[in-house]
Amino acid sequence: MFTKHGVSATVSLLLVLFAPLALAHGVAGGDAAYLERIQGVQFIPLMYLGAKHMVTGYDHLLFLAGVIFFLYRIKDVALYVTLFAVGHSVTLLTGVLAGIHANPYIVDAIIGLSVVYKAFENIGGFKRLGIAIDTRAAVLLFGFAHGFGLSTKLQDLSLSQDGLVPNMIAFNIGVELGQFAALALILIAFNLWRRGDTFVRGAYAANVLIMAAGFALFGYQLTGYLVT
Amino acid sequence: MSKPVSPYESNPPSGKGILVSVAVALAGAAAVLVTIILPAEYNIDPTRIGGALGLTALNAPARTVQVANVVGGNEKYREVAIPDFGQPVPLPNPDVFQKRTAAANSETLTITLQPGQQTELKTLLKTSQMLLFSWQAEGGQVYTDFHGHEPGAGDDFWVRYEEQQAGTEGRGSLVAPFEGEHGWFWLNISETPVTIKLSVNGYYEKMINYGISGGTPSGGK
Repeated sequence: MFTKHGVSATVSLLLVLFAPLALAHGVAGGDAAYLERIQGVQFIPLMYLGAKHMVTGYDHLLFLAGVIFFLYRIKDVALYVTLFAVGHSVTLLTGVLAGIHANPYIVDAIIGLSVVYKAFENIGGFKRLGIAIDTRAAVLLFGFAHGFGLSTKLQDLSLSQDGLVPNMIAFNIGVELGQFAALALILIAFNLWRRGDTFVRGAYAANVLIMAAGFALFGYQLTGYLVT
Repeated sequence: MSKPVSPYESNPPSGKGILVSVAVALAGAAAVLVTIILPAEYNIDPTRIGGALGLTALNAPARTVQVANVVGGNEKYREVAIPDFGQPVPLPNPDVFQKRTAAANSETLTITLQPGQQTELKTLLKTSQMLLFSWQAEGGQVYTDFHGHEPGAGDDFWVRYEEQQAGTEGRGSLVAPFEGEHGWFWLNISETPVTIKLSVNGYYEKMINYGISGGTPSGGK
């Protein structure tokens, strides 16, 4: 079987720079079968699935890479990542509890746009246009969008009501741990890159590439919305 | 207000530079989307490049056939999915399958040969057509030559499938190596009458009965 979110070779080529594990985005087939089978609280497995979802979720990782691209101080990294985590946790938890079923294609298209937004900001686009955007607010808002994506996917798996809240919280904790792990790898890669002088020359082009990947994700998801 | 984090925010490129960058990103994304992602994910392939790369196979729609909707319903036909087993390897010899519309021929003949008498029963087969046969001799043994030859080729061109110098039965199948007469020569080598019962099934055109001849035990082909 081919997953809906199979990655084209070219896009994954763009993404290997930023995502060590650019694989499928949806919760994989065997894991989905597991989730439909389980009853009651399964804390560690759900945590693992949340972490796996984040580490292999190339759209989340692209956005994060854009956010931390020019953040040198660990304090700034922590601030923005926390904003993003708070944003997606809020919508993940409330989305599942309230049973809000956002269209996954629309959510993923917005996530694609979030990638475009951050890359555009990184190359000074908003500055040139004279538009002042509070990056912290933007990261929080796009965090909401990412969280709706997570919530919709978790609900699609027909989790049983028995143990829903602890399972969902476990999934959320896993998402944060996975994000932390992915972020650590991205930061290490960035720090290695920043040491040489190729960073100065490559940073602009890299952000244009991230923007292109964001546009491609947007087009991919929007087409999915239109044809399905 | 958050402070700018990117050096390009402190010192933004020209408007034209930004425009070119966004255009490049859009064009690159559109190219990858149209030639690779859409063909692979949704089988949408306006440029035919995805098909040429084999990507459209990833999400090709299921094969369907139209089936007459005979039980209820208003539509004349309905679409029904059929299995897609992929591509087989080519047949080493395509002639092994012979499509026919009519049912196969089938007959049973009984011939009694007096001592020393001979007969020949032939089926007329086209190339690659098949025959299933079985015969039994009762009352004694017969000399048998199961063979084939092209019509009108005379006695110098013939092939032998099986010779039985003294036997009472034969069974088997035959795929005609060429168009022609394929069948049995029998000679009663016993001192008693022998009754041969022959059953044939297959896509032969017709049976040819050469009749009984001889009567002295000196027969031959």
